[in-house]
Amino acid sequence: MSGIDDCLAQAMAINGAIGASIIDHTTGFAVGAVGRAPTDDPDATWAGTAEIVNVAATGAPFASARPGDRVEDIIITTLDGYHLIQQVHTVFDSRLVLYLWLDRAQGNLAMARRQLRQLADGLAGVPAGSGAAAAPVPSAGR
Amino acid sequence: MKTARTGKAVLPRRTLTQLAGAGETGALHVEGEPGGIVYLTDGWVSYVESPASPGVGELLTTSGRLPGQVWEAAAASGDEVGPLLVAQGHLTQGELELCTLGAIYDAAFFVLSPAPVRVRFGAGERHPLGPVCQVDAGVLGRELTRRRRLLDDAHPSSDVDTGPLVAVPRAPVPRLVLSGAQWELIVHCDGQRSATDLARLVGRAGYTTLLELRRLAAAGLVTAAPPDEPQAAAPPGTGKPPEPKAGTAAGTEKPAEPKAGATPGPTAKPSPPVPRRATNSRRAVAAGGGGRTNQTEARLPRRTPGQQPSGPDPPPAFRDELDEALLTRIRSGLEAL
Repeated sequence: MSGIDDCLAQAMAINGAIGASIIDHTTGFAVGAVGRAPTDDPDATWAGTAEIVNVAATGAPFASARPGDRVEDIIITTLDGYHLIQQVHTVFDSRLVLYLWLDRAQGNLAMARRQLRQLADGLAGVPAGSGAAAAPVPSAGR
Repeated sequence: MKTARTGKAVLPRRTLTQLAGAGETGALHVEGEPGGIVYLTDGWVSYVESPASPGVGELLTTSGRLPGQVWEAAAASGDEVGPLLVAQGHLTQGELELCTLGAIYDAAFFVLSPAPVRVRFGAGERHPLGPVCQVDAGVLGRELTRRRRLLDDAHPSSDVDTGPLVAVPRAPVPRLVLSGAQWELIVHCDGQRSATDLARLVGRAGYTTLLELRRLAAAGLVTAAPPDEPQAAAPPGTGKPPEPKAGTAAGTEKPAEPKAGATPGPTAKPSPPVPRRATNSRRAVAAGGGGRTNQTEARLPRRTPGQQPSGPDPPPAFRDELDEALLTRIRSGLEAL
């Protein structure tokens, strides 16, 4: 199994997952996708996801309040589900996000967010226990 | 490379579709500006390279993800470079795939241009990167059409796509909001670099660089450099080859660049109104345009904007305030007695 396919398969194994994809947020192009998309037109879904990411990363005044800050994830909650969008922080220029659609009744938002972060870091080659993945841990242990 | 070219110009996308349909393996050499090579494996697109976009090696080394020596050693090994780097633990499979996919779509945008050009197919030729991922030619073609439309949506003119670019010396609006990627481009728009040069310099994809430049052009911040501007050293074509070398050698030179690029900024500094002396202030403003030098005083260094006037006397308003506060305190003290 390859890196991208493997990552998407693991994302779909998250409890309550309905669909997952890796999207280039500059162009709105899905590098890989599995499961269902929220609309009948997947291309429109990816393009819309890209738009949301760009608005959050560059348009919103709270996106980078301090030097070194950046958007890590975007969570949209609907009555029926959760839409998680995690930035994939590759060292080289890629501008990708990992998107997961989660059933609200079956899914656990906190767990899914954590698992998705690990997947995104694994895909980007970020060593476990460093960088963005580790951020919640040190703060919990003070 | 150009030994057996086909005589007449064709649409490279149509040729690719035919080759993919026939399940061919080999390299489709596409001439033209900028041109490039599409590699096919059993009818699937396995790699695309173009002089207009950074390849996998450049993306990985310019960003600092891989040291230049590691990449060069892998390339010189004769093995398939991609799998070798993963096997030796320099890259994860995910990184290699994402980087390669990004590079394929990026280069294809430039190689598979909608204009008819001369092409040549070298059967059996393979790219040294090795098998990493496979892209369907039809999917690739549709995505390229979509990207071309995105570009025109951002800014309908292609005047910044080729040729040297320059950042406008004076902002067209009093307040600007730029993304990080746009800032990187602005500081490197020096009147000599083209979109391709900029993409290689900052180690970003050629298409995304083009898209950001179109947005900057639409905002009136970047324009094509006037043809008489270049300082003799850099006719558009010759500046290109050295850039990628500099980029791949070390990402460390990059931080120095923005400062060099930013130096034109201070020259555009607006001359501040100097209220020190009424007679001098008018002359200081006029000195810039008219070049009047009838008094030496006019050539004194100007104050930079925001700099406080230095002088022995604090502003009178400040003093009044002080006195008032003191008097109030004395008065309340007396009242308390």
